[in-house]
Amino acid sequence: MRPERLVLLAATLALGVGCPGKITEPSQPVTVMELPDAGSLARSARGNLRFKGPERLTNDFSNALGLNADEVCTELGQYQCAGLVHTVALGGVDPFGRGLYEPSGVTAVTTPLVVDRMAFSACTRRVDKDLATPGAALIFKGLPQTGAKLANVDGPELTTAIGELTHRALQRDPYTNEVARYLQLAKDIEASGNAEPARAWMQAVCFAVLSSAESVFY
Amino acid sequence: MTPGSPSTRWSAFVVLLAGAALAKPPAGGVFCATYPSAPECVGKQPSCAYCHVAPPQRNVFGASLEAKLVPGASRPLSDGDFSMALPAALKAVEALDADGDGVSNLVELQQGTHPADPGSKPVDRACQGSTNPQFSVCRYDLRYVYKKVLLDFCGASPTFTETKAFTAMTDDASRTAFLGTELDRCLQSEFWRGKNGQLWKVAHPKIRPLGSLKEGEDKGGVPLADYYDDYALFAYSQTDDHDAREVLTADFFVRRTTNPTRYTRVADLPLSQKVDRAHRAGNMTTAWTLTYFVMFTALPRNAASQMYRAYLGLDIAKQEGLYSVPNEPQDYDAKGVQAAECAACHATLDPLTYPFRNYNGISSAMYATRYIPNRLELGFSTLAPRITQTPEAGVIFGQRVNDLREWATVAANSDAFAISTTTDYWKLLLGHHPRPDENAEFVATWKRFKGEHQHRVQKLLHDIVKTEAYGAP
Amino acid sequence: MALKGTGRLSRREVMKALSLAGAGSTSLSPLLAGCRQSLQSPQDVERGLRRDALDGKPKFLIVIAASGGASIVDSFMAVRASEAGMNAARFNTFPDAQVQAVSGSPFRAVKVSAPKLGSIPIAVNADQLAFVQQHRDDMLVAASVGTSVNHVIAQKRSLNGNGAWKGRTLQEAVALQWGQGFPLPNVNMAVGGYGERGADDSLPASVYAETVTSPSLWPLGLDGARGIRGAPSRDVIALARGARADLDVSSVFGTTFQDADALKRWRAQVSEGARLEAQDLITRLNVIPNLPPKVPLTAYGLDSSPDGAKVRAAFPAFFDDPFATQSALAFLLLKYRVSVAVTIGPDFNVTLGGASGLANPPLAFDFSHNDHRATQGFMWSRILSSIDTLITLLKAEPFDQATGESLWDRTLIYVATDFGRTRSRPDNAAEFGSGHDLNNGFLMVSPMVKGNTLLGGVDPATTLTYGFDARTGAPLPGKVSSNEADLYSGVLTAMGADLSGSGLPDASAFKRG
Repeated sequence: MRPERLVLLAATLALGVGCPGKITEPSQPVTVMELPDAGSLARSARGNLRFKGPERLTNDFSNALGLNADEVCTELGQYQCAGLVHTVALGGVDPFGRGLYEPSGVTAVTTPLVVDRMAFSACTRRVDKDLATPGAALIFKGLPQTGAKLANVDGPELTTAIGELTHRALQRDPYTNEVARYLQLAKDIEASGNAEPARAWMQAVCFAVLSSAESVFY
Repeated sequence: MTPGSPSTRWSAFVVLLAGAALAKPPAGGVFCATYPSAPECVGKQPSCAYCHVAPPQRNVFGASLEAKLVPGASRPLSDGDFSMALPAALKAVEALDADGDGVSNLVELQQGTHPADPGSKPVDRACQGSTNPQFSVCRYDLRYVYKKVLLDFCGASPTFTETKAFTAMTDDASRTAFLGTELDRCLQSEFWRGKNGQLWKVAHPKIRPLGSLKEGEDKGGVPLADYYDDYALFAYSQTDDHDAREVLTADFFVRRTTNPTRYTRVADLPLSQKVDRAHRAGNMTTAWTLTYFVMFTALPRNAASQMYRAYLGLDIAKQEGLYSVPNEPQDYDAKGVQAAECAACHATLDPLTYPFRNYNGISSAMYATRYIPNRLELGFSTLAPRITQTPEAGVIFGQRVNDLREWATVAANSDAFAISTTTDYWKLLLGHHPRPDENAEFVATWKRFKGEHQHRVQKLLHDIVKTEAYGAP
Repeated sequence: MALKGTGRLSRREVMKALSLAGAGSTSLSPLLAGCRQSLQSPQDVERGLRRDALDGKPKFLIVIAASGGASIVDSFMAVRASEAGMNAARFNTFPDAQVQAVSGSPFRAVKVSAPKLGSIPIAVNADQLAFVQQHRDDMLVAASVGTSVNHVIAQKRSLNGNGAWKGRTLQEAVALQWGQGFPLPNVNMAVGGYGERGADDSLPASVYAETVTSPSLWPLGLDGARGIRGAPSRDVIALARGARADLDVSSVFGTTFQDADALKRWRAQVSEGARLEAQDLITRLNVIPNLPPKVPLTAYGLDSSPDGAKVRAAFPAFFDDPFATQSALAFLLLKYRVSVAVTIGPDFNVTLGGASGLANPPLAFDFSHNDHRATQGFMWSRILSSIDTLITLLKAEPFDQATGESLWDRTLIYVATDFGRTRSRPDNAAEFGSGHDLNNGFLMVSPMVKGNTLLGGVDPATTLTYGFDARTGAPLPGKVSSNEADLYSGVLTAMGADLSGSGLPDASAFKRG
């Protein structure tokens, strides 16, 4: 495919449907909830979950991370992931080009990988912004660092960041097990010898929340 | 007719298949007279696929039925003999389990599952209806619905603050009222009604666009017609307080403006639409429909079958919606459709097609995509000896119509139209066709859409959101 | 008439071009469904199929979807005017010199020259002789009669034999047979009925096709993070995914919906994704080269396939023509053992490009409504060129050094098409429009088929094909009943699939040896 054609397609198909744009809702206090015993939780019999698809995923990632929709994910820095390159893998259609008029209705083998790409792309951009201008940080704010490391991997600032992410991506407070697991993630990353463990943790926790099943299904 | 002509060939088929028992067009009606409350019979009739893989080959249910159908009588049975014998045969196999899925034929047909498909059987979705911190499982859950409504109609989840505020409302009545307001707000959104929005997605399989042939905005390599006009009329008919039937019956067009998207009724679109007002029938007569579905054809069966499928949910290729017309098909264009294996469908399809006889597809600019009186006489008279005898009057659902506008009116007022429209949104919002356990809610929903709501989609959407099928996790 | 500077025909030119067929074209006759004769029941089917022992090694199926109706009497079963007697002028026969005999072969090869394609001002010069001479020993052509002339329905039936085996498509059957353990056993880049899923819901999820609409960029989605600038390292990614997996299972959401089919499928697919990444498919399947600023692969830590230069040289139109890119990707999917069934094919959209300026006419083979002969010549050339190149690539690719087999030795190319075309024409017209017709034939190319074989035949007086006995291969003049199940079974039988319990007819005549 000629690059010029790619540009043309991008102009034609770029996501432009109802993108709400940045939501700069003020932070809310974080309450960590106790996770009920799994055995006591009621199960759905209908099980009628739906995958969000290209537009809703883009909008929700955009809102969760305070990014413009076109900042969420591009391939090679210029081709929209959800609106052009991976539309069909994300359950979308290609009616005008390839005559794919109806979505398949089920996720494909490559769908989780594409979701991962979108989540990593969006999270990397958010983390870059928060680290570049700490005073205007949206999610990862006030995290003390020692060099490239988090100063305190058990610190309340991390819990606040986890809570902020959970509020914005999942519209609820975090559970105790989530906070514990993400704090453990910080320790694991630091133990892995990563050169920038603070940045890596921010990317990793953001990714894990955004690409969770709860985030991509409804 | 000359040796080797297509018609001769089809005659050969008739000889080859003489004696083969084909699908019986009266079967659906007799079935529904026997089981009037079966889900397959509420506003519709079972297709041939209920008993056949592809006529005349029977599926396992059809095979078991056939054995009970006046055994010993010579085949093929006349339609009359068949109709007389079918109720007893159906009763005789009620207790059997044709597909071996552990559920009797009778229970399957009462529940709306397929007695020939072991993968289709009633599912016990009974549950206790208890609550956990995030969901009221198996009950209508307003918090769950709130998120779904915003995602389905606005395209994004509510924020944490919005969710908390919703939860904090004093009672369910307040929450329910707020939900309705939010739904109406979202129905104005670009996500719902804008270009490439949700309404356009519903329209894609009906309009079947082809980018390279697009005229106007987003012009393709060989621009022939502007199907964005079709999307505009479709979206208009599905929004605000408009009547959804106008997608088939409109004698006007719709102009789309952007930022924000608005759909405005206009008398004409002279740059893109050519059919005169007296002969317009909504999206059935747009420049795109005539370009792509009529194309170069004298009798555009493709156009008729696509409209039947797209707006009435009846796919003749799957033996759905067959209402055989006596003495049809006449085969005016000498395509050999009187062959036995073809006549079963074409006795319905050809009379559906006749009202298109004067709608022209692709040709010179003077004639393209217009209504041309005596079109067949002017442009196709040498195609077949009887082609000019093709009437403009046709038949839909067994009812005679004089022209395509009458066709559209009968279609738009039918149960099939209401069921098809409701199914479109059921699929969009629930992700699947109505399931057997959802059938009661589905039937109530389309009946209200057709009756009380006078075909207003906005009210239909409110009804779907209120169903257990939508709102119970 | 000429292409404008933009490469686009003027509206006036297009309208003129397309209008020529308006008055004289034959009807689409679009729906003649439900005309199939009874299949034999499993009890009635004489078995006795000779099957390969399943040797544990995969076999491969490439389906080329010839959208719009590739006519067999415009290719390997063409009829000379001198053979048709008094009907020659009225039916689709060729001047004798244009139907070339191939020595020692039942096949014919058509040579078509036309100054334009319809009224699109490109010359058409198509000659099938070299292809037939080169590949005749691997070619099998089978006469056919379908049951629908509706595009979508007919396309689907060309792949499922009209429900011959519980509605599963050929690709699904092949993926089930040989694709277990392959990352993406069944990849489908075609459209319409060729892109639809089969009706047999009992198969494992992995055998249903992965739909690919953008073959040049699709490989970017085969890794969760490569090429995302600034993404964390692989070990951090693994740790993050581990945390996600733990919480997905234990969360209230995960527990509430643990029985939901969508969530079960998702969890399996997440696991499968790691296998795709491990094979570096984002690189291996990447046809496009590093070409900044529009394709800055290197700047994003990406690279073209190690076979990129080779496939780009083989399919030089890959920049402009999606069918060329599909063909290149099809080869890579087989070479890297990603898939056992790959479906490709031109679609109905116009593609500009190539030497003539037009790579694909509107409606592909269905442009025959406008100008039958030139369209068939142009489109058959397009299909045969792709097959020829694929064969060349596959022959050069070792499959098993112990046996000396190449990848081609274990591949079957099946040219699926919607239906045939009507045969009538104005007297002696070289330019005429055609409609849809149930009568046709199908091409298969493979070392596994009984090569240099024509199953059935053509009646020169009508140019209609007639059938054959699928078990013995004996021609059956006068047989014009549907044989969709025979063709379906023929593909699988030639490949040596285990058809136990399928109820499919014996199609031993398709198989080599």
